[in-house]
Amino acid sequence: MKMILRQQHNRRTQKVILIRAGAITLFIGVLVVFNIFNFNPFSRVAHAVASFLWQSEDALSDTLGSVTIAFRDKAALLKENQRLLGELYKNQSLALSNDALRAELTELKFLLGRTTDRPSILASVLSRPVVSPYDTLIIDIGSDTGVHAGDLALVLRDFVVGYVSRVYGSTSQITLYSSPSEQTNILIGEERIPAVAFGRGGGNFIADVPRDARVHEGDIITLANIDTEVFSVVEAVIEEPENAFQRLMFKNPVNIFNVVWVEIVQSDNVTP
Amino acid sequence: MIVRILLSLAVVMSILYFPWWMTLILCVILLIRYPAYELIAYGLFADALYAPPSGIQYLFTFTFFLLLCVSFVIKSKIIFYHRT
Repeated sequence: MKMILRQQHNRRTQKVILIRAGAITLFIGVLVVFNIFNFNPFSRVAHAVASFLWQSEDALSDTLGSVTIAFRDKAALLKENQRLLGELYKNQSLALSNDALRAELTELKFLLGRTTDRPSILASVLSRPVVSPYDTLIIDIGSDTGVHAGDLALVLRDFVVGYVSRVYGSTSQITLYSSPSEQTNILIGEERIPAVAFGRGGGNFIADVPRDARVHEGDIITLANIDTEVFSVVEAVIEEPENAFQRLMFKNPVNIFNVVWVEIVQSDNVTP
Repeated sequence: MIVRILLSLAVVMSILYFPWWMTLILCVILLIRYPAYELIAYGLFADALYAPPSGIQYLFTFTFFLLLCVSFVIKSKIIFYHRT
């Protein structure tokens, strides 16, 4: 009797295990198929819910910020104000010389028949990489403000960090060039040596160039287009005698974990 | 039940506001106490929000699913585990 009961129990256990294994395989299979066909059926709904929560949080933190400032030490505020004024004067003079150079560059491009004036929209960053392991940003403007997939995302006007990969009604997703699956065409240094930057996550990149190419630490890297958006600066050059290539390591000039604003500019077909 | 709801709410909030590793810690806490199948839905939600159109798109879902499977296996091996 005991034997029969044990056999029945074993059969039942095997059946349960088989059903569970089947369900797991089916679930993983569905996800793999979704991944292969780039199908994410819930993204629109998820963004609608999340953008409401993020914007509510922004409004709440603004209100709290204005309340707490009334209780701050006046002397400390005065000191901070003085420091910020000093920085402002310094940056204003820098901005003036930048504007003069930019105007000159635009004029030269105009003379050569290449105009690069493109409309831009300022956007607030709702979510940044530290919240998710993907190297993506979520911004507070979408198709209702004229954002299109492929538009470039700039930080501090000159540093290009990524491109718009998904557009929703009032939010958009920016994939950073440093995202692990991204490969971006770049030009390195004054000689504008072409290369491909491979994203390594967290704002880091690597690129391989021939050993004969003259690349030094501190060389400026730009995107491979007519504009002069700064992509990065070479931080390390690794040469190995047995390798025909030298490996360059660099990262975003701005800290992507602290980005608060981005400027969205229309892409002139530079999507990577 | 209330604890489960609160923990679930914490997981959703951490997906939106806190670093990803904090979400993982909260998921583990939830799994230690409950057989939290709802984690799969939270994973899908997180992936729908953050995953780029290219590359791996279901990182959160796969991770949560793996955690769920591992938790079931571990719980079945622990004799004194309180089954809920």
